[in-house]
Amino acid sequence: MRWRRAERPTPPRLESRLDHEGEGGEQGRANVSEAPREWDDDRLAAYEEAAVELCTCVTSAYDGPGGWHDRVWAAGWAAMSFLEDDPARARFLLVDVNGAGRRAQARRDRLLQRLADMLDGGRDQLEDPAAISRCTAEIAAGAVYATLLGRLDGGGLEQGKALLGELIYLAVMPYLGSRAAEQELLVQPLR
Amino acid sequence: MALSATVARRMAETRSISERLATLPPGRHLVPHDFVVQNQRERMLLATAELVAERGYRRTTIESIAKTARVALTTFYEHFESKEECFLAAFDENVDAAAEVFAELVDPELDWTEQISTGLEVFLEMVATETPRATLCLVESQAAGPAALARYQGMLERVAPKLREGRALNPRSARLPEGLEVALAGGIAWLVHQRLVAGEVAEIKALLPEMLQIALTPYVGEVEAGRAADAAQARIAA
Repeated sequence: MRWRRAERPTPPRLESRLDHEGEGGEQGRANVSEAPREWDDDRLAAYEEAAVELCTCVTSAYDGPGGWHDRVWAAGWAAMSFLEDDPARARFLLVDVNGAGRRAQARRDRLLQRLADMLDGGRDQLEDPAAISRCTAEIAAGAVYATLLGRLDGGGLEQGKALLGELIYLAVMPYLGSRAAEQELLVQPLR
Repeated sequence: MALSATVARRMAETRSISERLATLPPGRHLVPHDFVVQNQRERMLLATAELVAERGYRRTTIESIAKTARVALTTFYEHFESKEECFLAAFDENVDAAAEVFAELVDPELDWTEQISTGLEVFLEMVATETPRATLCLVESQAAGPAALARYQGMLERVAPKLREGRALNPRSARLPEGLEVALAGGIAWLVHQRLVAGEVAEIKALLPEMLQIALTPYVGEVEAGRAADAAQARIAA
């Protein structure tokens, strides 16, 4: 729960901010009190810890038995359970990380690349797996993230599993085709 | 004229004042005051894009923007209250400029599939020819705080209606997720984001066929989308 300790940091004193803002020696009053401060090492470590927890939980579900489609469902279910379980942690992982500087963004991107790795397994569903590249999985992962971000921005993920059909649609559509993917939208959330 | 040249010309025109007159001569001169003010503003917005792309929003300071734009610090504050306000103005200006280019180059009389194909091609050309501005809009806007992130989200929503027109081509469109269009735009933007962060812009147009395939499939099905992707591949190869 290290991330929770990092969730609400003590606001830095003005002198401290002046010492940190405008890295590279170009400092000034102009850069104080604008966007939230760049995450420090502690906060980045807390993010990393929460991200590893999420990845472990999702990867474990994805590595289970069954075909790719079933394993994507299992991974999606595990991810949404994890995010629903602690809405503040979900916001920390998916929303707060934006605006926290390039290092934080790079960590968020690693998380999404892990998702793309899983989705890229869908190429084996194609007659010719070489017909598309990993880029397709990256687009699908970005689409899943955009959906989650929009939902978190508009409130929260308390009913996150109701979103699963939509997320799985985005994940499998490039590999299984539009008609098959549309079937995901008919699946009851408590599958 | 090749699309790349047309895009480059149109994007350059959106900042033609700055290009024609990179800096104003010092001292008293006969240039109208409004022109001077506009020119200063444009120089600061361009400087912001270049600096933010090079060192990131966080490490870009007001002093460096003023210095690069060759304006006094007091001039900066005559235009903007903060670095964030300047960044947001640069974001808005770039998105509006891109929208103008789309409006000119994407013929609304074309089939919807063709419009999306041309639109994505124009988008990738813009990223290739105006990389700092693309970086500001697609990468740094996600790192510059809540207001910038809201602008980024707004940009995705601005793209959505054009994609949404494709629902008319899918007889089962009522089934499609409500947020599909924003999700597709977000997915495409994130792929480009990744390439910008990695500095892999030279080959960015090679992404077009797969982008098209995934953007069109929900509306016209994978076979028709595949045809459009193949045609795009052939255009790129040519």
